[in-house]
Amino acid sequence: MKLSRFEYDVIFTILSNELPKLVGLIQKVNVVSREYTGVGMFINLSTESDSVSGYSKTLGTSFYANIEGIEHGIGAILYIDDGLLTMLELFCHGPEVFPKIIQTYSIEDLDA
Amino acid sequence: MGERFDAGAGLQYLNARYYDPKLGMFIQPDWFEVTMAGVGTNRYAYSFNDPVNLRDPNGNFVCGGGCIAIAAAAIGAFLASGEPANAPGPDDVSISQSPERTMANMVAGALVGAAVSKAVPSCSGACGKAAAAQKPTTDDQGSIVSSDDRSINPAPTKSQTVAPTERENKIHHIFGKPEHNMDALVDKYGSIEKAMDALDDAADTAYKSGKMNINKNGINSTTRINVGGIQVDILGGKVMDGRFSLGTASRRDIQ
Repeated sequence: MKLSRFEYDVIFTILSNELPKLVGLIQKVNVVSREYTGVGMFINLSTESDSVSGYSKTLGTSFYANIEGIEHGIGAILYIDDGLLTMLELFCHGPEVFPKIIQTYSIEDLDA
Repeated sequence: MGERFDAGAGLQYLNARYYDPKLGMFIQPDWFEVTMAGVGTNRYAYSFNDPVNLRDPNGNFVCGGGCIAIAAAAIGAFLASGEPANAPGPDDVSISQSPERTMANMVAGALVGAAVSKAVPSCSGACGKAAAAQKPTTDDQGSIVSSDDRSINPAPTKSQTVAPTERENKIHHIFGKPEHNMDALVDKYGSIEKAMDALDDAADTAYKSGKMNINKNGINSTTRINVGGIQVDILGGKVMDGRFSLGTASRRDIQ
């Protein structure tokens, strides 16, 4: 399964801002499954790459997205294990229901 | 429960889902429609929190004596529709289904279910595997309409900074994902509810003492706090009505 447009933009933004050397991996990422939690979503990923770097980290501290209908916006955490993208976590910053449909959005770099 | 126990993970395998005996609940929500017989509004609960009188042998359907009929009809509905009833979809795609189609699927499903019930001697392995099977589908643009998507809509509980349903969902979002590595906090406080209370209070205390890394949008970026002697990374979140509202939390990057 492929990434949605929004998921692609989220991952691209996070990697561009926080770990540019891994931006190329986004072309090799597939979605394994999605878990909706009501206040967010976990997108489990697989990365078609043999290059295991040993780099494991969570990224996303600079990411913020304005979503139509969500007053306080959403955040994202990108999980990297051994240099591969393994999961994208999306969540509401405020006490709101995470949207099942995301069509209109804008992304900000909070560190800029 | 008569099913396999994964000693390494400390979880009971119930065919469709894993059950955590320490938490007393499933670690994944039931993805069938809450109004279906045997599902219930708390999709994480094991047999409506009544294990003495009820059972849930396949992880999807609570049953007392009428397990086979309930499960078979629901499985039939699933087979007829090609996807779990009311399975939530990811972004970009609306997966709303007309009531007429749902009813038609249920009627067709009941017929298929009746046939299945004759072939299935008990609601154990065979029921579970059929109910657990999920068929990814896509729309015309190739976007995923349904896959392994699951949702929760649990019963309301106590409220602090968020409305009851959102708070319950937030608890499961933070504590229900193994990658967050929050077991130490649950162990310390004895339950995920109490661990959430402690996490809420510690985050608010950190904010009020000026320790939160609040950025220009009023959003916390990442702040490592101490919750009863256990370090936790607070990720995101925002101040609402003078109190800090959690985004998410994790101990994954803490050695």
